[in-house]
Amino acid sequence: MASSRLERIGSIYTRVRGLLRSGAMKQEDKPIWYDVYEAFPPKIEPFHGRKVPDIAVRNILYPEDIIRAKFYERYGSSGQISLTNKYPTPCQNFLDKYREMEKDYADENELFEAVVKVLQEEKSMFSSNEQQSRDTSMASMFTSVNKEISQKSKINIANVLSEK
Amino acid sequence: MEYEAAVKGRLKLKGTANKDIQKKLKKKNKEKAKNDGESSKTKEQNETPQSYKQPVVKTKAQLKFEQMKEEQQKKRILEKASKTHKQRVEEFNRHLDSLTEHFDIPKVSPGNLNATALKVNQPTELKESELKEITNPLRFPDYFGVRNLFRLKDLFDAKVHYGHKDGTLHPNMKPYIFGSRLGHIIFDLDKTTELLQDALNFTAHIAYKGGIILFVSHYPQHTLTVENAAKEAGEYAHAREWDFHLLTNSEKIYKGVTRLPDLIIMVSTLNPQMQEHTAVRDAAKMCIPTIGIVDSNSNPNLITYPVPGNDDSPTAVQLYCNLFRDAILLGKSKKSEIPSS
Repeated sequence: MASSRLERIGSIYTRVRGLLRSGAMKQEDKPIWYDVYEAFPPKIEPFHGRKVPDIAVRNILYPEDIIRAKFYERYGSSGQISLTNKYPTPCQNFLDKYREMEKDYADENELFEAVVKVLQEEKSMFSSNEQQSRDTSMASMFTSVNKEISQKSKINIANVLSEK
Repeated sequence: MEYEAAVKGRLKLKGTANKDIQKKLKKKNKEKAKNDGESSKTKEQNETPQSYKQPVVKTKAQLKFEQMKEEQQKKRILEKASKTHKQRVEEFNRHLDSLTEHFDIPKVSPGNLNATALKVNQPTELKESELKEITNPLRFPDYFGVRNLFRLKDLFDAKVHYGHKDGTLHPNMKPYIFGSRLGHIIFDLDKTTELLQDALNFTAHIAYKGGIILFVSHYPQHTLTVENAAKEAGEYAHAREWDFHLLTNSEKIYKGVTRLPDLIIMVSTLNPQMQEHTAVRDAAKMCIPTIGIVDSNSNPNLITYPVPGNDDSPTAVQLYCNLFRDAILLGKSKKSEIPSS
């Protein structure tokens, strides 16, 4: 049975089609995928030397990025953020507040300072425990888990040893 | 008086034998006769009338040829007389009935209206009489319901849209990219869903036709995932080091006649050295179609059905393996449902 190993010339489809047309490959030897390929051809033919249009890769930026940049410039990053934690990050909290208070202020810098004040007041109102549970850093995830375990088990090793 | 200037003698026509020539011949013959010892005059007299005509003597080969011709003609006449026209027509009709309906134009009659591609999952709702009319799954855009296997959100949750960084971007991947977020490539999931649906559909059809499917991946982290998926699908996997001659010189490696896979699904098109996996080029060489998950640093050109997406995250790889396994199982299940014509 004939076959064509020239991967740089045409695609697998054009080569097999050529073999069938010329009679080098008999119709009985037609590969299984040939009919399926003809019924559902790929969106782009798989040619080796196919030229791809040179599309510029665009930068993904949002209007909130300016606010985020200012926030991180002042307060720095809080470390690695856990993507699986569903609570909003400090930066996200800031952004939400910023959006709320946007209508009242005209100047950006004024608005920024005002939001900072409001959030600091809110922070002092929260108790320390709640604050920790809403912590979104990676490190906190481990400490919170450790705390949960220690709270659940409530086994005092000294007691266990003293029983004996 | 006037005729004195006339040329006397025979007409010297071109092409015919001439007395002068005959004279020359005479001389030649005389010389020959002297050598041979035969009378030249008698030969001359015989030759001159004959030189006007074609030679009548036929060679042995010619005689035989004519004999064969006559025999063949007799045979042909007997053959044509053996069957009547009616008999021939009946035979031809029988031959036509034995051909497949693959090349037919799809029939839409009141009888099979509910069986045409208005719905996606049909075979289970058909009557037996209609089953015979619908024999070819290739006519339907989504015979196996492969589009229902996943949603765009599933891709997003599995982190399929994350690519590598700007610097490692392969120029041929640019059409599939949504953009770059602070240096990280993000895939356009709309395009990914479309291409993934095509790939799954192709897989299901190949499985339906009984093709051998090979899962290939050389990412050590995902070896178990890929091999399990292949096991569950009842197909094959090669998630270890790839021998160069596996596809191109298989008969020597396996020491026997081998049947090569009919489809190769590459869960990652790169090898641990960050170069294009040999299987991509070898499959193209051996005319085997490939489906490949191409990350932002891979070249999609040689892959028949590329699927742009993340090939590094375990969640993404698990999702791909599950989807392909399900597509294969769907294809195989439909094989047992409908009897092949």
